[in-house]
Amino acid sequence: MTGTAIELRGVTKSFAGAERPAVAPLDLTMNAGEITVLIGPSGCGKTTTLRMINRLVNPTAGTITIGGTDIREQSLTDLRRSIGYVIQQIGLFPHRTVAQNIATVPKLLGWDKARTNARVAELAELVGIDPSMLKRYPAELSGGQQQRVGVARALAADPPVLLMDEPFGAVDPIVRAHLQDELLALQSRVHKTIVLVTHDIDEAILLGDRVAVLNVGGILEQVAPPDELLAEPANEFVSSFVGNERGIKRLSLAQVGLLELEPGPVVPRRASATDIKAAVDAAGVDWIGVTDDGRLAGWVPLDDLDLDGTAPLDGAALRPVVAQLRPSSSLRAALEVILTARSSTALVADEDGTYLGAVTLETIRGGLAS
Amino acid sequence: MTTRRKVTCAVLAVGLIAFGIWAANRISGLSEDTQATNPLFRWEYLFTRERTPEELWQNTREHLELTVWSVLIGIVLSAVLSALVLRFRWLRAAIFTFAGVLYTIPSIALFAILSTYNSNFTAAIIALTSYTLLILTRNFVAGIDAVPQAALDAADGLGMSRVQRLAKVEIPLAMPVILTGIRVATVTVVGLVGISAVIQLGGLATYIFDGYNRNYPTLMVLGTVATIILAVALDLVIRGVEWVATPWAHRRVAR
Amino acid sequence: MSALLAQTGDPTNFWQWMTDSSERTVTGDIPSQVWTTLWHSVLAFAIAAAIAIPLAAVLAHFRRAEVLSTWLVNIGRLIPTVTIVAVFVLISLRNGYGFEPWPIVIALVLLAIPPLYANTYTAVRDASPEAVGAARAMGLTELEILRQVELPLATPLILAASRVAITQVVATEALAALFGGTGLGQYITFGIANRDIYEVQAGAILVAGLAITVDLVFWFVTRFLVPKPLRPAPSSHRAMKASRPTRSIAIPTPSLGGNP
Repeated sequence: MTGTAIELRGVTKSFAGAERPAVAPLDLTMNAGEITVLIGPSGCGKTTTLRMINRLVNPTAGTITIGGTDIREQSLTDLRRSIGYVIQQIGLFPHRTVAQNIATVPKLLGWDKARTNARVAELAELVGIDPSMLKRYPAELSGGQQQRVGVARALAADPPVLLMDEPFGAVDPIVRAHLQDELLALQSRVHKTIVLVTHDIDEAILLGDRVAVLNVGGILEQVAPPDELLAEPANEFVSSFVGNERGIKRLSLAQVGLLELEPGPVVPRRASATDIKAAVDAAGVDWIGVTDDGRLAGWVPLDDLDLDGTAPLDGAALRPVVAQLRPSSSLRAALEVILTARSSTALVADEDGTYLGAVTLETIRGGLAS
Repeated sequence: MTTRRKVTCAVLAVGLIAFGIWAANRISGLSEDTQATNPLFRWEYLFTRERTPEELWQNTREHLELTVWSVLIGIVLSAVLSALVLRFRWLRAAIFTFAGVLYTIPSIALFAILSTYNSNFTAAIIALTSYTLLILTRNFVAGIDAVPQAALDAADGLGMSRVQRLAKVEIPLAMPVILTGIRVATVTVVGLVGISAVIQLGGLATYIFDGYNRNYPTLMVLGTVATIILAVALDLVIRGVEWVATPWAHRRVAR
Repeated sequence: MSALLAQTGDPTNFWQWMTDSSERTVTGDIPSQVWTTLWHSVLAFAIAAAIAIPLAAVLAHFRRAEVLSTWLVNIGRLIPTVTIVAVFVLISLRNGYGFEPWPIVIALVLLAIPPLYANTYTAVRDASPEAVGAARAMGLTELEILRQVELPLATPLILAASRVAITQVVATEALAALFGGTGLGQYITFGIANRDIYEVQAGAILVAGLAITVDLVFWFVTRFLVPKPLRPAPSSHRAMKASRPTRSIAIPTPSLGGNP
């Protein structure tokens, strides 16, 4: 774990001429190595709070400590060089190449050329930039690529803390989904303390280890892991902010592997007609799934089978199982598959095809209730 | 290079070569005494008269001196003025109006009146510099204002000091507009230098007035063409500097 | 020239020179010279405007000849004003045409065309594309769109460009005197020739004064004619998005070439 914890104590920000403070006294801890998401409606001070951490905005009152050290004890530029900063408009320097952009903070810190180049190459691989792009200028890159460079630039000096202000807001939804997944993958490798501001609740639930919901004026309504936020919102504001589809949103947090799977209408190829009939009756469907050596091989509609012989599945024409899930699939994906599958049943197999069980609506409901 | 650019270059090249051949034809066999068939421009003045290259060089040098000094001093003064405008926004109207008024004063008048209090050369430099102020200040300010806010925010967030941000981000990104301003100012000054002939300077335009006074059209043509060539040459040189200094501004977008 | 500072003699100061006409070497009195300069300039400006503005407006509306327009501007900027005047004097002398007034007026017309053309072109071309699109959708003919939408929207910039152009023309008119013409420039040239320091100063102040006055008059006219919503906004806000350099013919606030 390379991150350090951030603590905000009594942090307040008032702008001149405003009646109420933009951020009322705020107490919040961002745990080391976690992604903490700040979310809330316009005017809740989430961006202001973020920018107080690297002192782009100075608090009117209160203290902020990183790793136990008050941020005011360091010089301004030293502080900022030890914190990564990613913004919505990306803000790459148009007059420098991708490699030079990434190397900005190392250069400011005085690293030598060899070390800088090595680090740039390492980061390019980490965020998924092709090495051939390092010599290009930002204007030649797409939005998604530019933001990847932005993230690489923020991580260049290996800061323990990373601040992200609506980092994926400026790209289209498909690219955004990719970038979100890549951020999670990245975090699993580097374990930084990340503070991320967003206004998208789905993004918060997907990315956050803990989510802090702020109300207008910087009032902290609730801070909790996403599942707790969805299952037990602290008050009416939080529950209405999180939205009505809390149950469905929770589905995206749980995984199929955690469910108690049913045996399902699946038999080995050598199975007898009796076994087939038994499995089909138990599941209440009109088809049968087939495994070879425990691996899911396909399925056959009952009508296509001749149930009178021995081993009726031998030589039967198998169809590929489309409604298939992995143990790592989210319950939300499972629900999606079930809704479109034949007989509303999906089969679960792991990466090498080993059949694990079947999932139906009942299975999911059973899993949520626990 | 786009096809249009290539075609333009090709046409210009062909035209120049054709002109060169025609001119060479005319020149061969001429001596100082020969009456050229075209009284408008006597080629022998340019190519066979002994003192011409030296005089040409003298005038060019004078022209360049006036131009370069004025533009350089103009850049320094405009940098100061722009810094003031950028720092104290309320000065903007005052400074631009001041520079604008200077710009409006006809150069012949400014040359004349300054020369009554200074040497001719000084008067010319002061006048020419004052003409560059409006163009340069306006472009310097516009250039810095055009720098995207996101890049500045990122620079701050990454830990650049104010000075580092200015030197590494703001000024480089403002370069295209700044260099364009310098180019326009330079070409403008080249044109104005000619008018300093009224106070016995004039650079290459001296030829124009000599030719007029002595009723010798060759000199007028020479002065005219030489001034234009100088203006074009300086324009191209600075465009070249622009091209080299801002590689990022003209790369193709590969989206 | 600084040697003139040491010269004493009649008249003893600038004001005396202005009021006492006996010492002057230029024929005609001051008001008539002012008038000469003025009507040369206004005539030249009017002709240039009549040529450049409609042409630019039509071409810009139909989006034609953009390359030509760029080149016209560049050339207009590169050719020094002295040269233009000189060329025309030259031609007129060779061909035996009289000096007054056509050589100088034509030279001034040529001088005024590039800035007027360029700024009109840009102004019409960039006039609120949304408004133009809406007008087209409502069924206005192309000419109606030009007259009722684009030109009114372009008027502030065209007026601003006119102000610059006519000021340049007034200033260049003084150059006519260098080639034996009439007008206010004579005071300067004669003054230098005769080493009459006050004549030079007077001439310079008169020329400058006229130019500034014309500039102010046009500034006033512009303020008066342009309704508030259309006045160009003071631009000091930084762009939030990364800005790519746009291709434009002229620098946004109109001014091209030097003030001769």
